[in-house]
Parts: sequence; structure tokens; C-alpha cells
Amino acid sequence: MKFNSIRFKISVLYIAILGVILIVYSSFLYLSLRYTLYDELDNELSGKAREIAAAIDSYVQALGYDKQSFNFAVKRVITFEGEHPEQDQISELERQWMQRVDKLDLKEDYINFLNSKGKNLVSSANLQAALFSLFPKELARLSEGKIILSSIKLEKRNLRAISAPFSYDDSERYIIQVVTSLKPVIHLLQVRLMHITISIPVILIFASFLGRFFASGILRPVVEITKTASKITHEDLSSRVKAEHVDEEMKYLVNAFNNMISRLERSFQYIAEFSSHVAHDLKTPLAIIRGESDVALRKIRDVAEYRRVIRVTLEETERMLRVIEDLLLLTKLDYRPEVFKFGRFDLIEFLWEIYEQSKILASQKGITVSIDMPQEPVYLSGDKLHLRRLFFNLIDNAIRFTPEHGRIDFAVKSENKKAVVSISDTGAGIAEEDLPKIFDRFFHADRTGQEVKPSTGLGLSIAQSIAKIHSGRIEVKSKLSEGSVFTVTLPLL
Amino acid sequence: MRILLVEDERKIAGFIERGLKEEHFVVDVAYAGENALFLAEVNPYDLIILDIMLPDRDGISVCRELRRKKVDTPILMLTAKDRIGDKVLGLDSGADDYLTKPFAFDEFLARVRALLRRERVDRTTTLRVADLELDQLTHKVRRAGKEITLTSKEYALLEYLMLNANQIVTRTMISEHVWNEDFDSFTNVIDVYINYLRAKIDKSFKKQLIHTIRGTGYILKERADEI
Repeated sequence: MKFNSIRFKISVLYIAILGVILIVYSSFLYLSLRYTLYDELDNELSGKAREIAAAIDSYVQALGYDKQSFNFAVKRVITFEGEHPEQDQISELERQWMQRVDKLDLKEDYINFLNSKGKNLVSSANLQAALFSLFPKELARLSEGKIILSSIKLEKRNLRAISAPFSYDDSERYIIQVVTSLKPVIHLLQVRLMHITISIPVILIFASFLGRFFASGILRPVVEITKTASKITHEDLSSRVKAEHVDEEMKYLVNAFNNMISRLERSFQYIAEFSSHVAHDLKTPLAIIRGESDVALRKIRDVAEYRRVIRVTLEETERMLRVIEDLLLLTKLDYRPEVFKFGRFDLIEFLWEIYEQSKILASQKGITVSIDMPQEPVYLSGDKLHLRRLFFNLIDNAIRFTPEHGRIDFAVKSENKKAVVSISDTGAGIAEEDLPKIFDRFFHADRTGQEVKPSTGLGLSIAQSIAKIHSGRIEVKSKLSEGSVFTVTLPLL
Repeated sequence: MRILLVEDERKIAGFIERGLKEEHFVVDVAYAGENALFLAEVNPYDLIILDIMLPDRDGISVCRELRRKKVDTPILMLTAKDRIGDKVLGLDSGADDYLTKPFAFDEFLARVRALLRRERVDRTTTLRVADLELDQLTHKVRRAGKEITLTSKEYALLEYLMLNANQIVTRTMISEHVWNEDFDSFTNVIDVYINYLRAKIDKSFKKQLIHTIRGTGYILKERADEI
């Protein structure tokens, strides 16, 4: 059992608490038992002393208050010996007293009758040992009328004694002592103590096993999580930890863990798809180069054919270069936005330049370009180089997807501390189900026709990344066969 | 032999088509899945070359659809995806072979020939009927040891007849396997080519191998009287 483990710690804690509770509680019960037993015994002794006093009193009452009768009464009551002339008059009393003696088991007890100075006058028959002496201070207390209870050890016997003041006619004071054995009480307490000292460890040991069992149950989800975690590799992210029959707090852990794996799974999937797309977009130009070269070399060809193949090779090499450059740019955008150099510039002037250049590009397809923007300057903080890239990516798309003699319109306005630039075209439009995907990497629109310069599929992705780094965004609205509107929003200074 | 090439990248389709035609194959090209399905249902191809990444529906689903429609032409799948899962998916969907781009054209041709051989009992690359030999690798034709020069179409026609040696071949079959979609059924171009072929391989030899079966078609075999 590891000393570092939760199970061990929980067990120790729980046993310790249980142990303390058991000990405290048992002590309490034991002490209270002890107190009760002693208390009862003392009450018994008190009772016995009173009965003896009462008996002496009744004897004296019956026989007369003279000294002789008194001595007889004391002797008779305590030792059952003695004679008196009018003894037969008290035969009923005697009989009753005998009954009481039997009932109280007085014959087992030691009884002393002392005078006020502590001198022993009469002792019960069974008292062979030395007299019980009383210390002066106790005598004093007795003379005040107080009862004294004390425990005495005599010849290895544990005894409890009561000393009660007695007087029958207010003149002479005497002391009645009743002493009884503590053996039953002590024996009972000893047995009880033994039970306690044996049972507490047994209970604790048993509880510790039980505790470990429960701790294991509670910690089972942790074991499950560990097992599941070990099964996960970058290839197999399908395992999950089951969340039924799990306690509340563990459920949170299990769910968080499962969600984490799901997110990882999606990330890996995304990366795999991305790699797949990259592979495809680079392999296709390579396949073309290889195929054309392969076929060309199978026979002797004429010069024109060789030129054609070389031209194709060049084109496809360019294409691959563009893909690689775009990818590098995307990685830079994602992870090192500090390549951007922000500066203050006038958006209107900037867009005018772009507009002029777009006109030239679009004229190849006979597409007309128009612009509608405010006259006053509008200031932005941004990286002109990359923003130019952003806009030209959008314009390239517009030109590519708009048929000959179509239109491209720029509209610029500033509102709410933002610049809103929209580029609309009368082109092929984008299908509704594709709209959320167009900004994804490598999303190619359907190849409707032959493109002179096929796209890398990364243009919109790059544009969006640039917009994000400028704290802006790009939105699109489109209708198939009617056209699309791309709206770029950038914050103003 | 007639091949259906399904590939959306025009440049790739271009060199594959050219390369195959130089090997005397007859090629039809489809740039999208739906078109491919249509062509495959209407024409009996000897081989279908199918790219996986198509614009309208992916090659895997086209392949499954073809098999579902009981088109059992051999299918060679092409793609840039080369992960094991992709290969398994492609082959399990009904393709007979799988080639990743970029590929060496020689290997591509060898696989094409291998798939075409599957239908045959005699699986060599040299076809023989009596003393007539046709080497599919070198495209050389010999009869009784003497080399015979044939044009591309003549070669394709002879190859088809030899692949179906001892079986009657109808004009329709010839038009479907030796010509592509450009075939004009209102001409007698088939008869013309049969004559060209006869002139080259039968005329100066004792035994005639190409026989006309009236009303049905032609047959290439050693003896005319055993039908």
C-alpha cells in the first residue's frame, strides 16, 4: 500500500476519526457507568446507615431511653447479641429487623458503632481486623452533621465505607459506619473496560478494510480514466470513459476528460484533412509534370510538342510555388502576426489605387469596375502590404468567377467607427450550402470551366486571416447565377 | 480496347488520353461523375480509369454505383490520396486496382494491361492465333515470322479480333470497342478497315484467318468450316 496514495490517506483519516470518536464515546459511557455504580452503592450505604439508625431508635423507643436499653439496642441491632429484661416486648421489632437485615444483606457488610471521638464501641461480628480509624478532620465534619463516604483498601480488599453521625437524644453523638465490598462493582467495570479495549481495535481494523473497499469504489473512475488515457494514441482517439454509475464530482472530471478527447480528435481530424488537401494540391501539379514528361519521352516528338511539355512543366511549377507560398503565409499569419507592420494611412487613397489596378485586370475579360466612396480621407491603422493582398484576393475571385462583360462594384462607407468596403460582382455566385465553407483552407469552388490560372484554394482563407489580425472581418452574401457581395469591415482610428 | 477515363483535371486527362491513344487504345473522357455514369451505362468499356476527386460526386460513390448497376468492367482508381484508409476504401467500393498520383506512365500502362488481361484465359502479353502473333508490349505484329506494319486503327482492330479469337464479333461490338464516341455508325468504316487488315495479314498467306459471317459479323480463327 503506497503511503502516498489517496486511498491510504483517506483510510488513515477515517480510521483516526472513527478511533477518536469510539474512544471518546466509550470513555464517556465507561465513566458514566462507573459514576452510576458508585453512586448507587453510596445510596445503598446511606440507606443501610439510616436503617440501622432507625432500628436503634425504635428499639430505644420501645425499651426506654435509659443507658442500659440504649447499649442493648446498639448491640442487638449490630451484632444480634445481648439481652434485656423486656426483650419479649420487642419480638415483633426484632423479627422485622431480622427481615430487613436479610433483605439488605447486612450480614455481609461490616458495621461499626463509634463514639464522637472515633472510639469504637460496637463492631459487627465479622469484623476481625483492625478498626477503621477516622482522621481528625473527618471527625470534625461528622460532628457538623455531615456524612462521609470513602473508599478503603483493607488487606487487599477494596471496600466502600459510609460514616454517618447518629444521636438518639441530642446529648451524645455517635457515628455509625457501614462498610461494604466494592468487588462486584470493580469486577463489572473491569469486564466492561476489557470489552472496550478489545472491541475498539477490532472495529477499527474492520472499518479500515471497509474503508479501503469504499475508497476503491470512489476512486474507480480515476482508474478508468487512466486506462482509457493509455489507450489513446494519435491514431485511435475513439475511446471514452463511461459516465454512468459515477459520483457527482467524478462526473465532472469524466465529462471534462471525454470532451477534451473529442476536441483533440477533431483537431487531429482537421490536421489530417489539411495535410490531405496540401498533398493533393501539390501532387496534382507534380502528376501533370510527370505524366506529360513521361508520355513525351516515350517517342520522338516534334519541337512544338517538346516546347508545349516544357511550358506545362513551368506552369505547374509556378502553381506549386504559389500553393507553397500561400501556405507559408497562412502559417505566418496564424502563429507570427508580428510580421505585420502597422502604419496610419488613408483608406480612400489606398482603395483608389486598388480600384485603378482592378480596372486593368478586369478589362481582360471586359468586366466593368465601378467605385462609390466618400471624398474625405478616412484613416486606418493597418499593414498596407497585407491589406492589398486581402483586397486583391477578393478581386481576383470576383474576376475569375464573373463572366465576360460582367460588373464589379466597389462601395466604401464609414459608420460607427468602422470602415465598410463591399465588393460585389455579377458572377456565378456561391451555393448556399457552400457559403460557410468558402473561407476554409483549400476549399475550391466547383470547377465549372477551364481556369487559365487555377486557384490555390487558400485565397479567401488568407484574406480572412489578414482581416482578423486587423481586428476586422469579412462577410459574404451570394446568390447562384446572380453574383456575390464580399463585405470587409475594418476598425477606424 | 476501349477505355473510359474519368478525370476532372484537364491537364492530367490530357496526357493520359494522349498516352493511351499512342498505345492504340480508344479513349472516351468524362470530366465529372454523372457524365461518367451515363457513358458507362451506355457504352461497353473494357476498362474504366476513375479519379477519386471529382467535382460533382466523388469517385468512390461512382464506383459503388457502377457496381450496383452490375457494370463489371475492371476499374482502375487514380488519386493523390495515398493513405492506407483511402486505398482500402477505394478497393472495397469495387475498384480492381488503385494508383496514386504522381505515377510513372510505364507503371500505369502495365496496370492497364494487367486489368485487361483478367478477362482472358490466356494471360500473356503476346496474342497468338495460328502463325499470327501480336505483341501487346511492343505493338509488333508478325505472321509466319514476317513483321507486318499496321496503322493505329488497324492494330486496334486486329488486337480486338485476336482477343476474341474463335468467337463471332458483331459490327456493333467492333464499333463499341475499337471506336470511341466519335464513331459514325452510318459509314461502313468497319468493313473498310477489315479489308485493310485482310490485305495485310491474310492476302499473301495460305490460310485465311479473318472470316465474314453473313448477317452477323466477323470471326478470327484458323478454320472456316468449324463454327
